[in-house]
Amino acid sequence: MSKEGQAADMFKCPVCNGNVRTGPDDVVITCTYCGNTTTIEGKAIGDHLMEMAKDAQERVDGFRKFLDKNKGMNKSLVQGAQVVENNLIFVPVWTAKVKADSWYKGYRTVQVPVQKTRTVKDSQGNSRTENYTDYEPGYEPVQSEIHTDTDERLLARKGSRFYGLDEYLQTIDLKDTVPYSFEKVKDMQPTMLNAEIGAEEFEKTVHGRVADKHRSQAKSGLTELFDCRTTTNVRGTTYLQAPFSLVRYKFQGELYKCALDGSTGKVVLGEIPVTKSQRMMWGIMGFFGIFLAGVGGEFAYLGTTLTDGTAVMIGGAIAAIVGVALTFLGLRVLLMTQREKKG
Amino acid sequence: MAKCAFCDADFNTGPGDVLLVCPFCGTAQTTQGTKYKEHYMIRVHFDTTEAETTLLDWVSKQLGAPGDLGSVARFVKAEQIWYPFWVSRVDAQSTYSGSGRDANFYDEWPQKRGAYKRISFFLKPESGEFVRRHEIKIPGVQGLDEDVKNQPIPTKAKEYFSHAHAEEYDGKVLHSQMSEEQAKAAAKQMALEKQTALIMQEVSKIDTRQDKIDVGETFLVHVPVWELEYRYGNKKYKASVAASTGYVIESKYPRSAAFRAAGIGVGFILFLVGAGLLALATGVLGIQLLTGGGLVSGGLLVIMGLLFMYKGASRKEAKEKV
Repeated sequence: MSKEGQAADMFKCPVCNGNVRTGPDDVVITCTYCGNTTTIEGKAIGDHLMEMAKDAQERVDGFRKFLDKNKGMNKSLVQGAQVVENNLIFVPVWTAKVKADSWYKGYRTVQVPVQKTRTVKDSQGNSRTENYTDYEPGYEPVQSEIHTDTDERLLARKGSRFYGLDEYLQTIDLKDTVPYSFEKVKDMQPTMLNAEIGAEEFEKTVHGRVADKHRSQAKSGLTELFDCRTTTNVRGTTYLQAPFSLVRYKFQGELYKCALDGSTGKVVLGEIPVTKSQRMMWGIMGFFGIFLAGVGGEFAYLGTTLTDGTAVMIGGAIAAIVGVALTFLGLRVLLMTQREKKG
Repeated sequence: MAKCAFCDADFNTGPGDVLLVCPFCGTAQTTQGTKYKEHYMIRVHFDTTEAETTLLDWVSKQLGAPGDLGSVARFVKAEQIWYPFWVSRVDAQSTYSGSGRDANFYDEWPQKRGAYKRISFFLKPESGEFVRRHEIKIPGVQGLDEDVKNQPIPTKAKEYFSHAHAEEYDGKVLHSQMSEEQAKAAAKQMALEKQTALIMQEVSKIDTRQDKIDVGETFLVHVPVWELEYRYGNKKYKASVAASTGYVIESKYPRSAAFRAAGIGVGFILFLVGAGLLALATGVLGIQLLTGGGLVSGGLLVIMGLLFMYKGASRKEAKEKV
């Protein structure tokens, strides 16, 4: 079938004059001939870096290592997993250091222990006073500051995301980068994507993102946040092309996926099957939990009836709690579709 | 019916369609015949068979899906629909003044320094500024399924829209019921609402505000989705699969009879045993036995039993997490 009519934009590289095929909304273009990167208006953008990529085989090795680490009792996972998709894509990423300073004000409610006395009647009907501890609300004014200096990264594509994106962006480190050169990775036949989001837009986006993060951090410990002021300073904005790979694999006829950092060949986030025998084992564990919780509960109850039964009661209660936890853990695995593991 | 302003062909349109895509020459145009240039698409990477296989392989791992689903399910419908989305970049700068809450504190607790017994709130004048960039995606057609509506734009190369490509798989390209102006106005409104939400976090009452909302590049992108339907046993199940990435946007799926029977049966037995233990523990039946153990184990068994019965009886859609 013909693939005509794509009418892609042509961009003339200001450095080598080559005609570069670009996507319609691309704003930062990397020449496929000379590798120079400019904005669509032909302006230089400063450093253009890339992370080197591992080839398909190395990625599969990294993927199998991940399976091996997370296989649990499913010994056949590494052998039985059959890779059905393993392609490499260089995604455009903006990164910068963002220094942010926030000042905030609010209050939180705390419980203040107050010693009180009350009059009680004993079994003989005699009144006596006793001391007890009550709790009353206290209001604590809070005025504090948050200072952070973080690396912020953004996928430079509009309205776009993919499996494992957040985990993947975390792995990007400018220390691992080299000046961009398509030649070095050409043989792996990667898909290269240009940026649809420019430097200025990126800086505005991360300003908003960090300011919102500070606000929610300030809010988290408070009953009410009155004011929160944040100033940000974005520096060292750098553009790079980062290799990402999605590996889809089949295990016993079922489809799973893993997101790989293409520069290390390691999985950043992946799905692991839960086999029948694993479900069974966890199911049994759940039932054992019920039994343990029952025995524990019985002893805890017995402890309350004995005159000197504190130890029995505490032991029983601990067993009951462990049992309940085991039950829910077992039940969770028994009913889950798959496990999700970080690499 | 509409007439293409570029190739003169007549083609069908629905009520409310305002940005039309000619099925013959592929030109996007307004109802007045003005050509719309910022019209893109994401290429199809999964053909019919690939989309169907991906779907069944993916659905097979869902809890209780029958083991023979992949070999027994028969597809009765595979339609490729191109959904239109408007994407806008909006730069917003809002300065505001108003009154925000603050508080005075009285009577420090001697037991806990820094905490006070009484608090009284008051309003104080406040002003400030929020500068944000919003990226806003609006579906071009109404009444879209929530999951189809919320799917991310695939991280694949965008290209100028090509009708020839959509036709390769008999794709049905939906006209946008929203014009560029309407999309921009809607994006502006949404950005304004987001700014308002930000301001309302700082003040409880806005006295004055000034917004500079600049709707920047706006484009229309058609995203291909396979709308599939398959038969398993006597029932049909619907599914949507992203044609460019193979993600299962959503899918109904069968649960095997064995799974249902086991869920309901085992669940019921567990429930009965649990209820029995609870009855013994509380002495409802006249005899009181296993007071502590019965309460704990009985309670757990009842919860487990109910959960199993629910799993056995319920019908759910599965969605792939992106």
